[in-house]
Amino acid sequence: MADVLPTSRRTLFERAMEPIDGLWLALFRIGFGACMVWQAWYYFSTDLIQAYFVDTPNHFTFVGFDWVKPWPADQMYLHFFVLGVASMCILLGFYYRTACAVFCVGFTHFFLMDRAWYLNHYYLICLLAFLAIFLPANRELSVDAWRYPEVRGKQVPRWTLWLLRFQLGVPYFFGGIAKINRDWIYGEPMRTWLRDRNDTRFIGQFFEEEWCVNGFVWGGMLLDLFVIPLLLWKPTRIPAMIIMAMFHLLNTTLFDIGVFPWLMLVATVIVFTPPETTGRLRRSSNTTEPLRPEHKKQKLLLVFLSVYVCWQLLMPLRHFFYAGQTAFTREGHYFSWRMKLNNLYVDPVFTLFDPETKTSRPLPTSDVLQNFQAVKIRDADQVLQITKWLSESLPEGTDNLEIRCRATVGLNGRPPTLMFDPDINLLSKRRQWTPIEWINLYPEPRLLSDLQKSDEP
Amino acid sequence: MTESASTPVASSRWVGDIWILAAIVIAFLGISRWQYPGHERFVTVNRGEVVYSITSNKAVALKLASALKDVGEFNGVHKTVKLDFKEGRHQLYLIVPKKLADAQPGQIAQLRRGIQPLCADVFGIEPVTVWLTDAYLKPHTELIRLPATSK
Repeated sequence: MADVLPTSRRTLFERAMEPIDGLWLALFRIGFGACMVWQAWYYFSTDLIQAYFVDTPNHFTFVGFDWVKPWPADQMYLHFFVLGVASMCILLGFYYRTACAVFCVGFTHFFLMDRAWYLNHYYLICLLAFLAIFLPANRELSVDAWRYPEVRGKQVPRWTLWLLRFQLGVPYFFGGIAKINRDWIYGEPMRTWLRDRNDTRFIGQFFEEEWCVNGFVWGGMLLDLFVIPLLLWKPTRIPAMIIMAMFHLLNTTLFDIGVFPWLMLVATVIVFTPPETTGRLRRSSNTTEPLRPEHKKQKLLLVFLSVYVCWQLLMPLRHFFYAGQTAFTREGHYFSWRMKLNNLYVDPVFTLFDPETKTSRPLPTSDVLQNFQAVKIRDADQVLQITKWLSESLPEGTDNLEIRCRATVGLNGRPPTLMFDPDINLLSKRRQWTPIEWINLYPEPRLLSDLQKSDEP
Repeated sequence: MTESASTPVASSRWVGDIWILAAIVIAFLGISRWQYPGHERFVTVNRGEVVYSITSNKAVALKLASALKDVGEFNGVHKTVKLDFKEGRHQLYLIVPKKLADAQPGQIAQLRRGIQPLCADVFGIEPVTVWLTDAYLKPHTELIRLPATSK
């Protein structure tokens, strides 16, 4: 394949195949595995499996993934147990690639089961687990290397470093791009969240000060946008790592975002430290070994991973092609690293409307929706799913009735705005891949600054 | 890993691998049962009533959930309840995801009457501060602060 490629591309491929010290990759595997063991343990240490997947009758699915459903109760616990065992196998490097594949499939299944629990770091875990299948991260510090000599090695191809640096850089960079918006720069929702946490030890006393809010707003945005170049440039690497570590430690103190800050902290430090520096941690510095013959076969893999990289670059930008304000419509919000941007409350009130008598009566959702799901309603697609569940619970002979909904959206402190026309018969609407055309596109038109001025006496 | 399973060496390796896997399974079985005190627990009570509490004391959480059912629906809105036992402060947050201006004074009084006694009775601790917040009028504006109760 290399022979038919132009010289510049061939050079890039050859450079991708260059061997580099591989200790960093083994450390990454251990760090990732440890975080995933913690994640799996977390679900057992709480009652989340029971509450979210056993006691909950309906689940918000992604469009096209209705077929991903929770298992029966015992199998659901087994599912998370298998995830935990696979995580430990990754941590120990035991049947590493098989463990990565099992973990990737199992965690992605969990991720797709209920969209109400969408978190960007769950998405990142799915992606890292997928990439880990292809990474030779078990050549050192692993049970595989201990038991099977043919697995052992102290070098890995350079593309592994490129790939992980890219994948870890994507959430930072696109997270920074997403923060370039009017609400964020005005200070919302950060002002709200900081005010809610003004009892934080030592620093909480400053959280209601505007200079502090602006510090979080601009600091967060600039760090997301520029931390990767600063980590890659030798003169700024150590200061950038210190700032990045402080950022994640602050995140874990202030926000309930689970394993994400620790995963990013551990992974970023390991992956952005030069491999030769990490390699000095070994007792023997002799890492010269012949290039493995199977590296030649990896060129096809690199082509596949190049397509993956393109997908990762384009997916978070798709919302620029959609109409409306993404934070309000949620079109293009998912899989785009739009993190910590919205303080969003949706209040849908469903009614059963009789077009003949022009009368309506309330349609309570308590039978089809758990309370914790109700506070996770974010968009019109979820409203359509609730409509479907409600329609299934209607008695026979009600085919001519309509289900309507008056859904209001409160975004970043604005007064509630209608999500869509409340006179629409939702039973006539279908879920769709493409942006929904019948929703309102913008929230309350006044700026947040205007709203705050009007509140002042 | 690449050897034929028919050779004695490969066979012994398979046996060794199974032992290692068994050890990993047992290890995670132990980990999955470990809960450190004070960790967040989610308790589901009577379908639809979920209590988010930062306590490992399931009995307290269940009692709280039961007591809150008597408070009644607040303007037909789902309630999210958060207990905060951090740093020795005892706070109960009722975050009502609806414009509080819609609520009638009587409903707020009803809520207040329901909450005040249970603060001391359920937790057996004092003082307990109850905050009712609303994110619509102004982001998390403190709309009503119920005074601490004394037993």
